[in-house]
Amino acid sequence: MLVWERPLALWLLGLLLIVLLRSLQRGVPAGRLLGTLRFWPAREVVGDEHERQVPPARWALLAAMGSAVLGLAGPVWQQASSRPVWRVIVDRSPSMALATETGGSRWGRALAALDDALDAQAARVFVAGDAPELQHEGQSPPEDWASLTARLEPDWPRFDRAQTVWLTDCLPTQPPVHACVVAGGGVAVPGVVARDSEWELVSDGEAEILRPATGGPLGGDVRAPGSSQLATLTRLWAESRGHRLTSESPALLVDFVGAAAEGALESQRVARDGWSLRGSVAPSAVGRPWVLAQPSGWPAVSWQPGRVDVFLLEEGLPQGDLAGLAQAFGDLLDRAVAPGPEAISAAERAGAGEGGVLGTFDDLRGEESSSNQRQLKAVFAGLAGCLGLLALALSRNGRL
Amino acid sequence: MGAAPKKPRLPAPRVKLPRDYVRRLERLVLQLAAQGERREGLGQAHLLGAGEEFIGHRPYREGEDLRRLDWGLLARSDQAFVRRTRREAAPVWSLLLDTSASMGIGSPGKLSQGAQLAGAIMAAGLRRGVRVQLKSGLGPAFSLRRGQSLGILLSHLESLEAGGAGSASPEEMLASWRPAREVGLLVVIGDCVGLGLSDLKPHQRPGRRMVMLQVLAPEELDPAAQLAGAAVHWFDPEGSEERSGRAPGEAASVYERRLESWLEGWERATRSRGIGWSVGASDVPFEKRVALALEAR
Repeated sequence: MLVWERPLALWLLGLLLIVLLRSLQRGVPAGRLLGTLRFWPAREVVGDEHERQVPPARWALLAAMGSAVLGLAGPVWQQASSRPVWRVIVDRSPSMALATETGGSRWGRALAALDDALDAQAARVFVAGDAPELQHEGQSPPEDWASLTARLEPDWPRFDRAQTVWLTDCLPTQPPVHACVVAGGGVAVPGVVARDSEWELVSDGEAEILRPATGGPLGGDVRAPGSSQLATLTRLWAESRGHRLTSESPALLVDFVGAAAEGALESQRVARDGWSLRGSVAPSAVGRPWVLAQPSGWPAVSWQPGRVDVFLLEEGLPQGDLAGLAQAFGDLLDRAVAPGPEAISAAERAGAGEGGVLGTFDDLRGEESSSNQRQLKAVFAGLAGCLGLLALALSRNGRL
Repeated sequence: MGAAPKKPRLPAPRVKLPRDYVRRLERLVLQLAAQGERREGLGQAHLLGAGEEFIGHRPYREGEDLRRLDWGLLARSDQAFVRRTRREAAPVWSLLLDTSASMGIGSPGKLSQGAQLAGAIMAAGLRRGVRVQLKSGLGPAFSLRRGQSLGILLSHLESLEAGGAGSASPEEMLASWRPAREVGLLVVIGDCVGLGLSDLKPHQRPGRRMVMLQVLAPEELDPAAQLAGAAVHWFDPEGSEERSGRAPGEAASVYERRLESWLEGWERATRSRGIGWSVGASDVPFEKRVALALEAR
């Protein structure tokens, strides 16, 4: 970035501009008298064919004076890296959009706390914690980042780096080593946690209460093709939750990609919570793993909001605690389905405390060493000298 | 871009003599007088009229015309001496100085240069004892005799104005004025743009020398050097003609060829008619051209 030590000197450029404009005005062909005019061949050119012409020597002289003025103004080049840039990792989970006891949302409180913590001159790059590829440069993140959409909380340890801020509502139990934390805080927000066609689970801020459903079933359509045991469980779960099985725009897509995958590994075991399944698993890295195949380590089932991917081609019936399998898979589906604005999980509705700030926000301000600055005065002075010599040389061959 | 520029005023219509003009004039006159003495000594005296006044003797030099030998002195002293003489009746030198509008251009102005030339020739003439007259318009000529103050001449020169009231070109003056029989030197000074050899011919006569000193502005002689590629709109100072162009350029090249051809024509014509001629820019020191004019033959 170019900064000027004496910016007032730049007004002299206006003077040079005036000189240049006057030179262009004088570029109108000069009217001269010639006693021997009869020897000059008659041409029809009068006036308009003439071009404004400023002698090259005058251009060079004006350029030299311009360079001298710029040098006088004291140009200094500051490397852009000298300006502190903070990476702000934004928690976009639904809890950030909940209201607070003082009005506004936890999102607004967190942003206010961030403004207090960071210098206004500091550059900020906001990164969506649940989708790091989404980035926004500016003083605040996009408004639509704050919503009740079922987005996951950031994988915080992944962002534990210097010059990084975690922007969230609740201080983490495990504080970061390098990153700073800005938490907006907020009290618990009571409300519906889950609902099916008969019952609803309501959080009062401290405990969850099961009561007869007061509204219609939550959720929407679910698409779950296939005929495996897990597909059957999905259909049963959807029926109990009041979802309809459909093939278009589902609230939850349970995709059994393992059956069609090529290069599947053979005879791997999938097990947790007292149950096990055997089948071949296709290598994949989509979403968050729910259960891993052994011994390959590939996720056999992974999930993300609105989607569950099953990479397991079952080779037989489940073994062990089948009720545990049904409950665990049902919990997974409950977590993955888009809940709608009324139903927010109890963990999201829980109180976020007083909020606060962790870490020190010492940045590179005040550490801008002279090595990051390049004095350009000498460059402009040298340029002015060269152009001046050029003007002198040109003026010897013509007019100035 | 607007229309063509308006016709400019004459940049140098008045005569401006250099500050050191008188000093340079006196020095030039002395130099010319010394050269004249030497030429007379070599038997190459010019401008001698019919009558001669004896002013002394000097030793005879080999090769001199024996008719100038003083035979009586040779008989008495047995030494060869030559008689030194001076004209008894001083002849007249007439100068025509162009004061038309075209003389008001150039830097320095052509009229100023012409006036310096005229002043120098007239001062040299007064030194030699001739009567000098300067005609710069259609009115009576300005005359000076030996013994009259040089200041009168300078004042008259500084009163001249190119294109002013009573100004005239050489061809106009030659057409309306007939020099007296005793005019031994007729000098025409100016740019002579409208002059022709036919204007000079009627004024040639035995015993009269004619000299033509052409004065042109630097941009007239070499527009390319003066303009350095700039566009220019030319105006005729004495008419309404206009031309446009750029120098150097195609038009400027044509101009230079035509001008050169015209000057070469003058040189040939004047040489064939025994008329002294030279051309020079208005920024050439007048001493050089005066000497050239008076020593040309």
